[in-house]
Amino acid sequence: MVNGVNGVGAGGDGGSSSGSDTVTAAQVRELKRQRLDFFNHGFEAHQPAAQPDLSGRHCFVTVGATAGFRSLLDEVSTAGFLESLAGHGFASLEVQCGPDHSAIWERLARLDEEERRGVAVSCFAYTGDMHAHIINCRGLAGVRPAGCVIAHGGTGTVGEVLGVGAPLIVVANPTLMDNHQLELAEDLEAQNLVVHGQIGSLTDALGRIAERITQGTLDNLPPYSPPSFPVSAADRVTFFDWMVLTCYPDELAVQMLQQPVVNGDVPAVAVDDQEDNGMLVFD
Amino acid sequence: MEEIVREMVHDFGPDRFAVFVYLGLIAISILSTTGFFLLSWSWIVAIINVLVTFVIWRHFSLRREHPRPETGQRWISRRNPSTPNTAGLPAVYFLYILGSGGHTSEMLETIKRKFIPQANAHRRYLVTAGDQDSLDRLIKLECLIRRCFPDDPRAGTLDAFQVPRARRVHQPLWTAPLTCLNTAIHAINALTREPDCRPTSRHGAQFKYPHVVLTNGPATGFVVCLVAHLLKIFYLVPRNRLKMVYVESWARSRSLSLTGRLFLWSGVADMFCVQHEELAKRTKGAVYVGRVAARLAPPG
Repeated sequence: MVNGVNGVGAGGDGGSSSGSDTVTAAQVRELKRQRLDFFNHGFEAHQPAAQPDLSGRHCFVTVGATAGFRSLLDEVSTAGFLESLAGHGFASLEVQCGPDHSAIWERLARLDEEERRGVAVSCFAYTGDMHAHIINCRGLAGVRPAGCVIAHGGTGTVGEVLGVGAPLIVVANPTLMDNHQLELAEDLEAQNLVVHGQIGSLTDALGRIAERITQGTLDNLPPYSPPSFPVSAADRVTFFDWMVLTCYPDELAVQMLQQPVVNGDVPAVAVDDQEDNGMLVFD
Repeated sequence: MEEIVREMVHDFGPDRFAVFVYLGLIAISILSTTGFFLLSWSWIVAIINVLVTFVIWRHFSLRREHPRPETGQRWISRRNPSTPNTAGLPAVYFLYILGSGGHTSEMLETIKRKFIPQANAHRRYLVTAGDQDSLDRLIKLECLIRRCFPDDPRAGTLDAFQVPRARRVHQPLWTAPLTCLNTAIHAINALTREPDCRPTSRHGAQFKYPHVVLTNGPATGFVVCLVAHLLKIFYLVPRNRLKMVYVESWARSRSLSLTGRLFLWSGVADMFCVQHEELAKRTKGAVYVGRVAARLAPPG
């Protein structure tokens, strides 16, 4: 199974990446075994076996697990895009292609040394552990500079990248129902959380993300710590527990009238109490 | 530990049930066809009238029992740390419908954010057939829970069911009814089969049906909720079970998705939630629950 095009990703991409043009039964068995290993070691400890060269900036392109996104992949596999990457100090490009893996692999393989401008290129179809790839793009003080994730506008991917804190360019996939990814991309751009990239002018978006990296502290973040689990009582979403209580109407009535008791004082939400009384009626 | 979780999840339970439902549907259609030839017109019209009136009446009487959006808003704005308290209840049984890709990510994030260790909790996951990715990710989540609470009954119990997918991405809409019917028939099993790990002999009927069905946007979710609603309409499930909560995807900040519009229009869901304030203002009957399916601020 050949994953790497330029040596960097060669030799497989950890236990979790899969998908190539021809996969024999033995390779499938090997993949399954690796997958089991991966679970035995716990998913937090998992790292890709072939670490990309982390001295330069790393760019990770992902189209998500569900649908393909050919126009984005076509654009990132052009010489012009690689030139722009090299110009902004990127040393490696990794592409998750989904169903278009073989076509994109061919496109990338056709680029010669000159056109790659020293950017190490690799691609794979799917991964079971997106997190391990995204974390390489998060700047870490003294270890690696911030890179960039270029992703489709799916909520799963976008949520995960923003949770990790890696710079993100969102490109909405216009072929999906109602072009719904556009809404999220525009919204997050307005909140200054991501850069909204357009097909056809990704190099502009790359320039804007590079500007953001040089202006901010994204190169020198503290080590990533996964969010605490279980979440603290203050952050916990309790709404759905109320829905459970609607199955027990008596208990619900009791709890909706309950007031917080702070040091035995009379609670300060007496007004709320009366309104609550009114709202107890379910019509 | 992962093996144990995997085993629990892979215990999908036999789906002989779907065959019986298919046979039942065929029997009903044969009966109605023969009735069509044997009975006089007036009888046919009368029977159809009664049936339709009954369904409509039940539908609206069930809708009237749904908690109002204002009540939901009040639950969210309440700042009483001691409520809601579900630890004392005989059973807390959630059914989570995992779609695919982004839907699954959002749902798992929501489950993480709402998790509270309780021994009376049972979680059932509904996965679409062939969706190995969602299955792997839910196993990861369950492993995480079990690692945080090793050998602790407060980790709760779990099982998983598979249904055929209602609509694949890019599948033309006109073939959707057929695949939806197939999903619906398999969903009945997942909605009504009691968990093997919570048998009636030990828990009575407390774990017979899920309390809350949580879905967030895959078409499968709507089909399952429609089936749940029909089960309640025909008195097959008591009305204080299968409370349906629809959470509109975090991606939707200005307009509703097709599934969202279906839920809102049909009034099947007990509670209709959106994650953007702007959309909540625009949508009558929606509750703004905040961003329950995504974590934006980078930690550390």
